[in-house]
Amino acid sequence: MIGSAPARLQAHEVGKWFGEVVAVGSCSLEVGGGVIGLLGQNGAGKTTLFKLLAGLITPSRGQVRLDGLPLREHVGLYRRVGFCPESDALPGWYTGREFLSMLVRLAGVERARVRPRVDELLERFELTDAANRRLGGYSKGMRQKLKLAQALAHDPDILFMDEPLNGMDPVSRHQAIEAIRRLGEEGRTVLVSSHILPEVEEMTRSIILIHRSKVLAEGDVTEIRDLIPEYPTVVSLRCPRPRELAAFLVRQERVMGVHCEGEDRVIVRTEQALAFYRALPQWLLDSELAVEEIHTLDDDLESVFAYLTEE
Amino acid sequence: MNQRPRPAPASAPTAAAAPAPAPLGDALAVGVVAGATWRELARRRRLLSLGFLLLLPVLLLISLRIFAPESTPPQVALPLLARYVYIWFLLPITAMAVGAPAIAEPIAEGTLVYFWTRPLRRHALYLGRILAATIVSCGLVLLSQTAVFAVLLAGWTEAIDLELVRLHVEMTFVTLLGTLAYTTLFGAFGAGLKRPMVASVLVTFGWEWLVADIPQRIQEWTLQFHLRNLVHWPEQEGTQTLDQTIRELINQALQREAVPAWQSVATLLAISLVATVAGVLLLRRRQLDRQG
Repeated sequence: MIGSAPARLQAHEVGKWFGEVVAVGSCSLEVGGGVIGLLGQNGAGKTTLFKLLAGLITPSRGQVRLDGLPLREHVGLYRRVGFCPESDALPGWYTGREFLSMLVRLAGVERARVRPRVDELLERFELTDAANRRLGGYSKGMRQKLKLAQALAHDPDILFMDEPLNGMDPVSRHQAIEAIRRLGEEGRTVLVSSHILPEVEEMTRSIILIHRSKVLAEGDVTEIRDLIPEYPTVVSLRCPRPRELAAFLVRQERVMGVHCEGEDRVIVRTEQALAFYRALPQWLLDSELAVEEIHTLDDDLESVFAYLTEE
Repeated sequence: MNQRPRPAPASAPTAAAAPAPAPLGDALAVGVVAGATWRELARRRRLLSLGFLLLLPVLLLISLRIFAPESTPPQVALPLLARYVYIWFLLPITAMAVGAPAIAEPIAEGTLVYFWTRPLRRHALYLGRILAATIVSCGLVLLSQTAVFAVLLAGWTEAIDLELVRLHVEMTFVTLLGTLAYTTLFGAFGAGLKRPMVASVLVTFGWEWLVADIPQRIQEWTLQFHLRNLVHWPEQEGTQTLDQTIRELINQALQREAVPAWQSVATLLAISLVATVAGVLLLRRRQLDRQG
């Protein structure tokens, strides 16, 4: 189902409130292509935003569109949508095969292609042995795999995955992360909701951060990190002549502070990490100093999240 | 720090929209949903309890045949069972047990989301589930009635007359229409109410039981009345109860014209239609805020 252009999901000033409780404030965003992490603490409003984006609930204000069309009003668009819900409720009276067959058929797959497609999905998610067992007897990990399988059943080009790794064992989790990354690389739009930052970090650097019912930031983690002036980025450089490197770097425009750590490490604080990284090769050439290793200490999701939410 | 590092797009989406892919054909969607719902209903434990309940009239007749074959002839037993067991109790209770949860249960359990995120129109989803529920409830009641009639045929062969055969045929028609009307009504409750079973019980054992026998036009506001109106109840010579005598006297005093059968059929069909349309509209407006 992957077309030439990735599916574009647009939300324009979308809000949702239940009585006097604002679940999602006015929020606008646009996503298309690749894996995007929808991050937020429990209760931040990310699940409500997720449901709004997937057309499960109607916004109190604003609109959500998939490739320019309101998803909730054009149910045919669900041919292009895969949805993996957070809740692990499954109709326990079906077998895994029956459940997948029904959903594959309802997604518009021709009758003759249903069985091979279901077999393929069962094998891909290692559920072949449990295919004829009732879902009521499935473990949490198996349920999670089946939810992922049904979301991918009709080869959609936009996927909503709400906490997709919940309840998975480490091996399955690793496989799922790899699978999600591959889906993004194939050109699909994959929106993954999670409150476990390292998980999301393994899948993508592109995030939407939601906090207290509002979209706080959207984009690449490093770019977002760069736009937080209150917390300069901390970069660690390993080199044989740290004192000379520190003395050189402290004179540079974008460097806010430098100190040496241990025998071979220089720690630099900069407000503009991207510009710093761009300028660094030239500086090293000018100073004739060698650097063996560079890494940023606090542009990981967890730091960005903590800085933005101040928690 | 509350400022947003990167403002999200603020303008309304203006890109020209490509035509939306077509939803699944209604006939196919209704068929697949009904097939899946049928399988689901057949595996629920509730169906076993219902089956047992529907077996009771059969067991009762068998007991009568064994222990007191002369006490209640078929001419008395069948009308009594038809009126006070099937129309009054088994038909609505079966429709309630199968129809009310048809839509309400997947919503409450959180499994409706799997249907919701497929390219099928909401009315196809609703019709598929209600169709399966109606077929199941109708089939169960008909099975029980057929078993009752079979016991009568086998046990009192010489006593069976055309009037009893006609009563059985009429009861089959009543069951078809009754399960359709009750199941669609209770199904609509399931689409719109958080506790559809409570509403269904109130309607059946409150409104219907209280009002169906009031000898005024208000009784026409019940399904029970119209279902009973479709049956030609056999005259029972010399066995009129006090209750029947009082009712007859009241009816004579009020001098009300009988409601024609076609009017009852039309009323039952209209109720089914209105309930189905209401159910579809309620489901369309439904928010899956429990994700289900």
